[in-house]
Parts: sequence; C-alpha cells; structure tokens
Amino acid sequence: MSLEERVAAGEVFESPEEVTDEYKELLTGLIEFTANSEFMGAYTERQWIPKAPSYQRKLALTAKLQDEVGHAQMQYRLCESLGRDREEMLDDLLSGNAGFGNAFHYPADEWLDIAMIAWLIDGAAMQLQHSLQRTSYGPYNRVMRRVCREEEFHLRHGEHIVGEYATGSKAQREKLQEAIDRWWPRGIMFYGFSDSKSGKQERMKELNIKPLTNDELRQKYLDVFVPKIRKFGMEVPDPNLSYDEDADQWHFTDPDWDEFTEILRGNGPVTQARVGARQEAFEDSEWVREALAAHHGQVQGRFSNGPQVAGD
Amino acid sequence: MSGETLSEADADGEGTADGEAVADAGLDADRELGMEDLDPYEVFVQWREDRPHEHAEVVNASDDDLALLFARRNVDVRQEPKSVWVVPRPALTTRAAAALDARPAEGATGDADAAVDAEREPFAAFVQWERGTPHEAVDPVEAADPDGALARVARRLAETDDDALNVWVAPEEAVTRSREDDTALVPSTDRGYRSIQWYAQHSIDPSAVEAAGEDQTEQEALESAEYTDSPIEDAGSAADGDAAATADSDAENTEENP
Repeated sequence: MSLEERVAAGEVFESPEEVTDEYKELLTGLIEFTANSEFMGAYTERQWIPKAPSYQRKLALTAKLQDEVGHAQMQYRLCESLGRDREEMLDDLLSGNAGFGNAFHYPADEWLDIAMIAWLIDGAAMQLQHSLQRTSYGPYNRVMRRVCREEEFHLRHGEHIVGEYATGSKAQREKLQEAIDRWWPRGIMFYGFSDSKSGKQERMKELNIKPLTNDELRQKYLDVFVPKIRKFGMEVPDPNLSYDEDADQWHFTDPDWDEFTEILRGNGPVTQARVGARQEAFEDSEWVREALAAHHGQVQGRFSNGPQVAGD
Repeated sequence: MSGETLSEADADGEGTADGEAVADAGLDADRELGMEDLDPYEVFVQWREDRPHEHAEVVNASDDDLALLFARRNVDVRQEPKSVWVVPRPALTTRAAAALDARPAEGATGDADAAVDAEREPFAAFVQWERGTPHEAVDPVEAADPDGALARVARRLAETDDDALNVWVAPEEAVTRSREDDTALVPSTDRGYRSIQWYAQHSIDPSAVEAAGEDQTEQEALESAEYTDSPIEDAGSAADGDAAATADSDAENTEENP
C-alpha cells in the first residue's frame, strides 16, 4: 500500500521508518517552526514576569512560559527523533536560517500585549495544535494533546486579563480596544499565506501531516474569536468582516502580506532584538553548562557497558 | 532471534523540558559535550493511581539521577503526577508484537525460561496497545535475559488473547523511580493560577461562572471547549484527579491489561 493509501485508510505512523523522506521533511519543517515559535514566545513575554501586576498574574505568566519552553523542547526532541540535529536547529534559529512565529517579531511593551499574545496569538496557535491531535504521526499527536491542554490554560489566563479591562474604566476599555486593533491583523497573519500561494498546504493535508490548511485554520480562528471579542463589548477592527452564510465562510481584509514577508526575511520590528535576547541567554547560562560538563566528566563512560544503576 | 536495542527511531520523540535555565544548559551542553555522550532516557509517568505508568517523553542526561530530575522538572512543575520513572534507552529491548515468539525456546524443557531461579532477574515491561497511543507499563516479568522477558510477555498476551502493537522490556534495575517521600519538587502553593477550572469559576461572564459551578472538575472545565470546535482530547497527562470523566476508557484499559 502506498503512503497516501495508508493515510487515507486512517493509519497512524509510529516511527520514521514507516514514512517517506518527503513526509519526514514536511513534518520536521512544521515541527521545527512551531518549536522555534514556542521558544521565542517565551523570550518575548519573559520581560513581564518581574513586572506582572499581581502575584496571581506573576505565577500564571511564569507557569505559561515554563509550558512554552517545555513545548519547544518536546518538539525539538521530536525533530531529533526524525533525524534533525538539535545543535543545528538552535544555530539556525540564532543565525536567522530558521524562522519563528510572526507575532514574536513585534514589541510587547505593554501588559496588554501579554494578554493579547496569550489570547489572540495562543488562540491562533490553538486552532493548529488542536487540529494536529489528528495528525498521522503518532508521537506528534501525543505531544499535541499535552500541548493543547496547557494552551487552554494560557487562553483562559489571557481572557481573564481581557475581561478585567473590558469591565474596567473607560480608559481601560480604550486601552483594550487599541491592543485588539494592534494584534488582530497579526492573529490573521499567524497561519501564513493563503493556500493558493503556499504550495505545501495541499500536500501536507494529503499526507495528514497537517490535517487543516492555512485558510481552513484561519476560518476556525474567526469562528472562535469574532464572537469572543464582541462578547467583551469590543470591536473587531476589520470593516470588511462579514459572514457568508451560503458559502459558510468569513470574508475579511487580507493582512499586510508585505509586512509578513519582511518578517520572513528577518526584518520584523524587533526581530534582531529577540534573537539577541536568545543569544544573551545562551551566554548567561554558560556557568550551568560548565557545571554540567564537570559533572558529566565524573560519570563519563558509565554507559559504555550498557545500562548500569546508580550506586545508591 | 536477538533483541534489538531500542533505536532513536522506535522511541516517541517527545521532549526534554527541564525548566528554562536547565533547559538552555542541557541544549548547550550538547554542543560542548557532544550529543553522543548523553543518553536518551525514556520517561514514564503515572498520572493517576488507577492508571499504569505511560510513556510521556524523552530526556537527554548524563546519568540516572539527572535524567529523573530533568523528567520531574518537566512534569512536576506543570502537573501533579503520582510517580515518574526513567529508563536509559540502551537498557530497553523492543520488539513488534507481531514478531514476538511465545513458544518455549528450542531445547528448553517445559518452561522457556529454563534458567534456574537464581539466574533470573525481574524485567519491567511496557506495551503499546495500538497505534497512536503511548507504551504503558504492565506487570513485570522474570527472565534470564531480554529475549526471555519478551517471550514471557508474549505468552501473557497470548493467554489473555490481547492484541498489542509493540513491547519494550528493561531490567528492573535499570529503572530509576521517583520516591514517594521526595517532596523536593512538590509545589508550595495551590495551582489555581494555572487551572482551567479556576478561570471558568472566575469568568466575567456570570453564565459561565454558573455553568462552572463549584464542583466542576478540571476535566469538565476542559471539555467546555471554548476555543476549539471540539473538546481537547484526554491525553494521559490530562488526568488531574477526575476519575469519573474518563471512567469508560479506564474500564477498557483495565480489561485490556493482562
């Protein structure tokens, strides 16, 4: 049976030997990008841990960022098992050879930016991650089930901050509307180019690597967030937004794809600063690596004769 | 037929999240130490008393204790598992269930494990029941070597007429377990701040608060699926102590387990 037929029959693959090189390449491309995005998301938001407005928010944000780094690690690990080299992936992220999510190329200078990332951006990611619970690669769908559960908390955390502003003073409501205006196009952009301009979408759907295409995910995003935003008494900043009952489709204004293309080229508003923060963190944690290396020196050779057990 | 050592390819490539600082160090340690010097460890987590340990992820570490620390750092800070085990991948022997041989070894009299008791050792065993699901711990077996252990598992599967996809065995002594009395990583504060139920109960929408009620469990809160078109699927890790919500699937699993 061909790979396509096995996918069509609903088969789930459990190891890289069961799939083709093309499948692996498309799969690792997707996973590496989402891993990078989780990782850089943490670098975007972490500046707000010390500045969080309450103890509850500080705990929630810290927990969220622990989750994001964990999600990145789970996905890097998955890429490794599919033949990618972790060091190479980390180098590619620093050198700009590999991209990360568009949202993390923008400043997050206001507390509400943090709420928007947790709500509108994690909400966009959630549509993708939720659909990936049905991807044809078994180890990936298991990672995604865990990721979705944790992302649901991020969304509720973001929504809670939004709710606070939506029911607050007039000034707070205005701030919230401005934040939504700022972040709405970035959420629409999140999935990337329209299917007609993104050659891989159809093939990835055919192999059930990515069960839904960019355009399908964008529709689901609109299904969820248009009513959510309105429920909070806010406006969706798109004068052309309408729902076409017959076609069962949202019509919306295309985001600025030139801006998106600049981001892909590494020229987003704060792309370089974000990558720089990652580089800095790498350098700051050198003492930990040295300690680990010293520890490793003591136990080296331990596995050379197969499994052994700790001395205790 | 000799056992194959579990290859990178066989394992679920799931992650190593060790907390931010340690995670960075772990990654960068790879670069200095060479990845080949660190062993991958398979991590098994028991999310609830009434569930077996199930494969959750992989961590890279230079020894058993660090592997357990990294694994716990990943799962404990985010959820509250009952227990965590780590097994270095070289200690695992894997076999597709279809290739398992339940018959006694050739020349053996009676029991396939003709080795005298003194030569046998306990093996931990893990079964992947079907595609798309993680390996789950089953009762340990005693055997002289991994092939013997696989044969024992095969016989048990045949006796109970259970279909399985894949089996892992590892000498029990290679399994490092978290200790019940180890409270080092148990959180010191309640976790309402990361519980979906807490947010449901504190929603600004009065109807949502009413729907959530005080008795709503974390799983029920999750199933309200406000941000997705269908509920989030119950990974093993979804088990925050709500047995009732998943009672049906548990019953099935109990029956399946020999």
